[in-house]
Amino acid sequence: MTTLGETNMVRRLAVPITAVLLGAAAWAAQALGGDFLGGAVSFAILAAYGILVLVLSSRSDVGRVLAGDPPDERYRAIDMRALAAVGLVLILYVIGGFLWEQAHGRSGAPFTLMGAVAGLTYLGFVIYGRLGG
Amino acid sequence: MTFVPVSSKLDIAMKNRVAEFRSTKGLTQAQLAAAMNVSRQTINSIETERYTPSLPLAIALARYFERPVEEVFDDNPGRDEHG
Repeated sequence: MTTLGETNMVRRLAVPITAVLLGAAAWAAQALGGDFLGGAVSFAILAAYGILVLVLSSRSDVGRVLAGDPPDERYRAIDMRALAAVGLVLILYVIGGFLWEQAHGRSGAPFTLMGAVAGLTYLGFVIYGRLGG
Repeated sequence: MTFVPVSSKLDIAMKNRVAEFRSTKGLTQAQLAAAMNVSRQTINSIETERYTPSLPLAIALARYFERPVEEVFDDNPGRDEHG
């Protein structure tokens, strides 16, 4: 059985705490926009996700991946592949959105900027990875 | 021994004898996993050749079995070893 060291506990709390903080930020933003109740719902959803991840992280390896604390190198690779898949889906969504907007005679915003940010980020990390070995 | 570059086939899972050496030592997958500080599922994935371990883990396994790493893992089991 895995011993839950202090470092692992901090790692496993990172995602739940982030989810709760994000929920609080969403609540504040929606409240500022005049939708206090909608913000409360957003907070509840994100807080529930954080609690779910925290509970799962002590019960399964997949839960630990979701909590940002993969148990070993294979799960880290799975996590990386899942993140890469998310990036691919988002890029396809951005390209689709850009083409849709252009086809309707609009500028392509905000997809143009999103695509530029994604492309430059990718380029930056490739160069960073090359320089850093 | 002929040098065979493997850089063009890094995505291919390597053959290995982890299950054989583990059985010889009388260990369960869970016990080997605990010794290697990985999950039991990862040991299972290595044994069924669905996952190729990192170099540090491959070396750790070979050292644990007290065998050369190329005896535990083989990228080209079909080739003539004396060629």
